Order: sequence, then C-alpha cells, then structure tokens
Amino acid sequence: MVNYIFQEDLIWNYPEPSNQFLLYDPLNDKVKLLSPLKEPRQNHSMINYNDNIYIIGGEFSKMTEIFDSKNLTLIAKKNLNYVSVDNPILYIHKNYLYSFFGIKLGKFVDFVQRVNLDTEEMKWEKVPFKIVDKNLDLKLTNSGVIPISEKEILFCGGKSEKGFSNRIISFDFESKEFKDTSFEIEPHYFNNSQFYKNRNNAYCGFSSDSNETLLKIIIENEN
Amino acid sequence: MNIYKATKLQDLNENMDLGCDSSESEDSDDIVYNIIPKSDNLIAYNDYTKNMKIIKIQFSSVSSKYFLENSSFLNLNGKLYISGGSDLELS
Repeated sequence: MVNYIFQEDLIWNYPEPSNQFLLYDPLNDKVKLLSPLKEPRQNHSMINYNDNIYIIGGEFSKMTEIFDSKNLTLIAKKNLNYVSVDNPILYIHKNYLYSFFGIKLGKFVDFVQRVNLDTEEMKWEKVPFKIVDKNLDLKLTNSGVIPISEKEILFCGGKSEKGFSNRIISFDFESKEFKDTSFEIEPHYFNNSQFYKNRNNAYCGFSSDSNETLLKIIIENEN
Repeated sequence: MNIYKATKLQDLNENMDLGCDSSESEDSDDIVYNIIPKSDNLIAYNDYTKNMKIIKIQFSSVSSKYFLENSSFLNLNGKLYISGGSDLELS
C-alpha cells in the first residue's frame, strides 16, 4: 500500500512505517524483537538518557516513546506543542531534551525545540537562538553531534537542501548562539553518533548512498 | 582553542576480516555498531583494538530479514537498538 500526502499542489508518496523494535546483542550475535513501537515511524531519531531511550520524530508522529533498557518496558507520551519532523537531531543538556532542525513537508527547517524531562508531560517549547555568522545554514538533518564542553556541542556535516554539508557548527546552550567554526570535514551525513565524554575524540557512524564506512572526528585542545 | 580533525577510517571493502572481538575491549562502549540499511550486515568498530569488520546478523524468525531503510539505531551498554523504518514489503 502506498500512502499519499496532499498539501496544496504538493503531492508525494511515502512507504509504510514500521513499528518494529529490535535489539542486537553481540553476546549471542542475534537480533531479537522487543515490544513493538506504539506508533509506527520512520525517519525518526533516538537518544539515551539515564538508560532510557527516547524515540522521537518521524514527520507524522504524535508521541514520544520511552524505552527503559533496564526493565525492557516501553511507554508512549503524547507530545504537546511539538512540531514533529523527520530526522530531528537530538541532544540532552541539563535535563532538557533538545530537538534540532529536521524536515517538515519535504522542506528542511531550522527551528529548535526542547522539553523538560523532569516534568511528567512532554510539553515542548520553541527555543529562540542567535546565528553569529551570516549565511550559516542551519537547515540540516543527520549531523554528527559531539559535545566539546559542558555547555557547547558541535554539529558535524549533515544533509541540507544543497546536499551533504562539510561544515562544523558550534552551539552554546547558555548564549543560544550558533557559530560556524573554521573547520571543515569531507561532506558527510551521519546516521549515528557515538562519543566518549572522557576522551577528546569521537566516532561517528557514517552512511552514504555510495559507500558505508566510519568517520573518526578528533577534538584536540591546543592548550 | 580546539582543533577538529576528521579521519575516514579504512574502507571496509579492504578490511573485512580485521577482527573485532569484544573480549579485547576495556569496556562495552569501545565498540560502535552501525547498521547497513537494506542488508543483514552491521559494521563493528573496536576503538580499543582499532579493528573494524562487517558482521552478518541472524534475525529473529518473526522480524524482518534485513535492516529497514529510514530506521533509527542507538548504541547503548554494548548493545544495539534499532527501531522503526520504512517497511517496503508493506508498501
């Protein structure tokens, strides 16, 4: 079955989303089924916080799902005030879950949303921000996210309307400022990021249409 | 001042049998798993041994037989969680 979305003169089809939820355990080298997602979704994102996995996004999603990886339980909470997008870039800072950018109705968007995880409701709010550098394109998905301090993260590469990005962009949670660093990477998008807080380096999973490999990003402090 | 460097790790096509044994790691977070969509393969990279290889996965009899496109995955405590995706067989 193919679904069609109609909006003014915009028409496209999209494949059926899956509610499949899998666990790969290297100890037995098998993939097994977990509880199915409450809401089938695609082009969504996941992030870990205190061994809870938050499952967010997919353009037509209405809920945030939370999987307790210790007790293997899955719950869903209705999103309030969240503009659901495809491929949101997620990060958690001081108990706030941030959802950066994404794709809505086929267009890249650059807004930032957040929710306080200490509250029972998933009541989201838009986050005002400043762009320090002119011409900085924040309409991104699939950037690798790497923390470089308690208050600052880097967005590495990603997908944009113009193709794969080669930029490394910083975001300061205190000043709410996005800045373009002077560093570039080979144009990449990431389908997964893994970082080590105790080391000054990070590994980002990388996937493209033409190749599958890993990109290692190293942060060095000159001091 | 920070300096950022990006290095593409060696092409998997040339390094499929380098080995990636979790028992050689200091902790479970040393190994990063990445799914290859539309396949039954994972990329595993061991940060401790610097080895990387492709692992062919056995799926549960009731799940898909490959990793779905547009799914999301997450490494946590040495395991890999994969959710959702585009189920082309249903489309």
